[in-house]
Amino acid sequence: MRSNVIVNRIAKARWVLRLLALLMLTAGDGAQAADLGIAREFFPSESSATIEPPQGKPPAATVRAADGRILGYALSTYEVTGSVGYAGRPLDIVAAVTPEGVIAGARIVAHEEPILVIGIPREALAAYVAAFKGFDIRTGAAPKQINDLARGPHAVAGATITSTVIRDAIVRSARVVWRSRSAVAENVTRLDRETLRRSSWHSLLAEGAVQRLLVSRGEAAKLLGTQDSEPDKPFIDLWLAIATPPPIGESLLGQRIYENELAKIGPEDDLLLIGASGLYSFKGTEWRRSDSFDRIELVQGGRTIRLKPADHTQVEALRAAGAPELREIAVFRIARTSSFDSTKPFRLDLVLGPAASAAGPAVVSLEYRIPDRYLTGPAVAPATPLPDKAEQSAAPAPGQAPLWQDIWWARSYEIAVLGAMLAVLAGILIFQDTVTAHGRFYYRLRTFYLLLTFVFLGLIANAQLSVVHVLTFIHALLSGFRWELFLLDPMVFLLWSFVAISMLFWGRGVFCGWLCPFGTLQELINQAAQRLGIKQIEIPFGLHERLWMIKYVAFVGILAISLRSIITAFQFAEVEPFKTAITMKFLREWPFVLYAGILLFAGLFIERFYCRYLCPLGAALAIPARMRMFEWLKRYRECGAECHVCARTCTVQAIHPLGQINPNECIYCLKCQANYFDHDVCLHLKRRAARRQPLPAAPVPGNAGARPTGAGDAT
Amino acid sequence: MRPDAPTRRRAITILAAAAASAVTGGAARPREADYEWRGVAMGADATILFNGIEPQTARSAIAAAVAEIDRLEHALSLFRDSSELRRLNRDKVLHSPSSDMRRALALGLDIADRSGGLFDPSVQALWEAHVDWFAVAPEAGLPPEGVIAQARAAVDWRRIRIGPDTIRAGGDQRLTLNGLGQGYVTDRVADLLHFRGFKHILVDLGEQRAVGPRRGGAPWLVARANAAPFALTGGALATSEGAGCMLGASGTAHHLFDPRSGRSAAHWKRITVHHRSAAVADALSTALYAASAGEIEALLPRFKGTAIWGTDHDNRERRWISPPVDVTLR
Repeated sequence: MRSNVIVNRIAKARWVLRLLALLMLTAGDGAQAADLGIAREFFPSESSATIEPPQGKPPAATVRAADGRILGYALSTYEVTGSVGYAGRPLDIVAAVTPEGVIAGARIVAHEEPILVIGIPREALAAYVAAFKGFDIRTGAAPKQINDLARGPHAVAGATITSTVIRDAIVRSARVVWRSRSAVAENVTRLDRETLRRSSWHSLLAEGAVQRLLVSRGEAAKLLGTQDSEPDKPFIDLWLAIATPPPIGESLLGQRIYENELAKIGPEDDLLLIGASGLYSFKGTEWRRSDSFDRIELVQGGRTIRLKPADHTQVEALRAAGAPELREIAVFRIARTSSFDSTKPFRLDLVLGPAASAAGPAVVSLEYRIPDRYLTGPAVAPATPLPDKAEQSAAPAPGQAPLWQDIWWARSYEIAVLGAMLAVLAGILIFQDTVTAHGRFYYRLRTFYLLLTFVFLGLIANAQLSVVHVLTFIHALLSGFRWELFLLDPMVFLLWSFVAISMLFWGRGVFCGWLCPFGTLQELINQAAQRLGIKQIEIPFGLHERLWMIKYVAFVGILAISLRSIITAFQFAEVEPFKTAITMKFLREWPFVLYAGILLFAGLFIERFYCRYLCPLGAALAIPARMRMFEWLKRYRECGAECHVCARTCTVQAIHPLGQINPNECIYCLKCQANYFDHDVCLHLKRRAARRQPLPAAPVPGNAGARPTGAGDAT
Repeated sequence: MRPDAPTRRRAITILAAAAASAVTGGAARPREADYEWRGVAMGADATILFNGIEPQTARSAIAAAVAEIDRLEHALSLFRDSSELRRLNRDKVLHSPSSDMRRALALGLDIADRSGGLFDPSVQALWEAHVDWFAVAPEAGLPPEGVIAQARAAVDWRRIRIGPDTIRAGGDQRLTLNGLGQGYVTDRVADLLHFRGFKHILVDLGEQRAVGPRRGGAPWLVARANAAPFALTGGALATSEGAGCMLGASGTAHHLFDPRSGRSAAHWKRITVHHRSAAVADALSTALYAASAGEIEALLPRFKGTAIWGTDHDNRERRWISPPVDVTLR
């Protein structure tokens, strides 16, 4: 079990966390002091440890052994740092830090855990938090990966940024307390090795965390005393960064490589990243038979720091959003004992040619100085001022990009794919006549799109909209709407924006028919079943019509419950199998799996069984969708009177036997439109062809009760 | 060669009109001025002139230059007991040499190869033999042939080996980089300032290297005896002059030895070389001081991009150019 799977789930829970935070703040009296007493349990070897009442600023309670020795300081992350951007009780963690700066233990104490409701087993979350035991806050090293999580989702993790929430809360709070309490509190400028943030390539460049050295072939030839036929091309285009602080190192290297490298260095050592493209290699080949690189070295003041082959790792690519592709990238581990001080300016010397160059020493230099924001110490303000509790909100700390922007950067690839998907869908909808007039193309396109929705939106990006989001939105409207809250999950934000617009244009069907991963799963399964010849059950329309009511009841019920207790409402929202089937990929307790399985099984015989009768999200969307602007689905006057092909083939049986399309139920799959243009299927077209009468019937919108009267019918 | 000569009397001084330390740039740029730094580098007087910059910028540039000089002396200087060069002379082997040490020595060996041994980093033995001889008998004549022959046995640049992680010298050898060390440091300081974006600087650490002309394009003027000053807009000038460090009471010997004879070279009063790199110019001026006019002529094709001025003892000047010379010189 990888820990980031859990935290990935936490990402899904963010909305809810935020919502709860908001509710809590609205309630006004949400902040009762956490019980720090449990911190005694973090010191199991001291049977009679005592804990003093919390005091001081930042507040912390001293834990003492029986002999009066200080074992550590207990703290509540909420009390100390307000859990940094994720304000609110739900993320209150009690932790204790020893005088040596090691976290003695951590436990999540908030019991409003909506996380559980959304998809993370309580034990998995507890285990993730508990794994911070032993974390040395001075080194900033990552906690060990958890290997013994028997239960919980074992799915492949998507984004990894999400560990930010818990890790930042624990590490930052512990560090703040340790610094204030420790006699060895740093009074010198240090590198900030704790602050977690994702940065894009461009923001790293802008702030000077990455420096560039570009040597053209002409310049190099001049230095080497040679000639070059293409003087304007790059000889070497080199980038340099101190990669020790997470916003630089983790952003550039990706979490896995960054943490691997961190694990190899001591608490005072540094990581240096050098990457380059161009003709010339900064590593050369000599180093394979030497004990140091002969083309690069660091110079700081009067000291020269050689870079050793044994202390470097080859890296394939930079991970930061917007980073260029480079020919050669390496991370160098630089020991503090080499007297290198990453807080001070230094330079990289790069030798451009052989040692004995006819033209003298051909060495170019790149000066580097870590930006002030990565330094801490007496001269530098604390990284995060303690927020005033009344002001805790999604507002970013001054001088920092809002959290949501970092998240958008980090997920830019998923955002791009979703953007393309939405653009294609918009095209399909706007040019629906053209698309459906080409029947085979339409059917292939639709199947492909459904697969994409299921695999990418569902399995990869975990972007399954849910009735929970509807509740969150409604409650946010009730308790003070904030954009930041909804911007935190870019996928969901984009999907909702698109759904809102498309709902206004064409009704709720656009989401249900094209963008719902569970819906597409059902449809794909049913298509397969039909191909395999499984006989479909046709429900009498009268019964069918009445079963529709269930989903509206379900939605209104859940909404009503949410006004009383949102937690209970979230539990009732389990009527949606989305979490089981999509988010957790069936790796869940058996009753949930059984329920989702039954729904899918029913879907073999009744296409989109769940969508038709049970889906509260569909109901929630259908209600406002009555405001839609366009009626673009085409019908002939005879439709329903003489021919029921479309009604029979309708994915969700949204076409009344009398011919009109019920827009509340329609999922806008456009099948009836493909039929409309199909000379082999549509009875009207067949007859017209038989009579060789080219005069077309005027198409009229076939829904909203617009029944053809037959009067003046040209046919 | 110029082995350790603590106070070299230099015939050449800087005449740059803007050299005065407090010449302001006029009312238009009240905050920009000219600055001069004076110090010691590689055992010799050192000057850096900044034309038209702000005081803070000058201070930070000077701090960087001083740190760089200090760093390089740790590698190349004979005047520092702990330098890599001194350690190499003591132990005959140097493990994990700094890349500057490798580079400077490799450059020296390259020039030695190309000059057929006129330049030789191992002439330190000759210097020591002379100094020892004159220390005992300052009034006596030149050292006898036996002393010279013994010292010459240790002079052979081909016995110096540069491996990937070690530098080795022969068991009896002592090396000096004074023949190009000042030039090397000059290059490094000049390049460093250049990469910091400075455009109008003259670095004079015994050899003069211009980082661009003076502000407004006027050249730096480098004075010389009995002739018009050199006008330097780029590249470096290095001058070797026997009179820079005389040995013995009667001045019969000096610090520039011909490695072939083991005696102080006598063809020239003064040799000045211009090259893009101060290190190359420095080494070449040292090498060519020991060469006759004919030998200089013959060696010329091997050293592209140099201009050479030779002044003989009758103050007659000869000049050779080996193109391409990218800097205009008067």
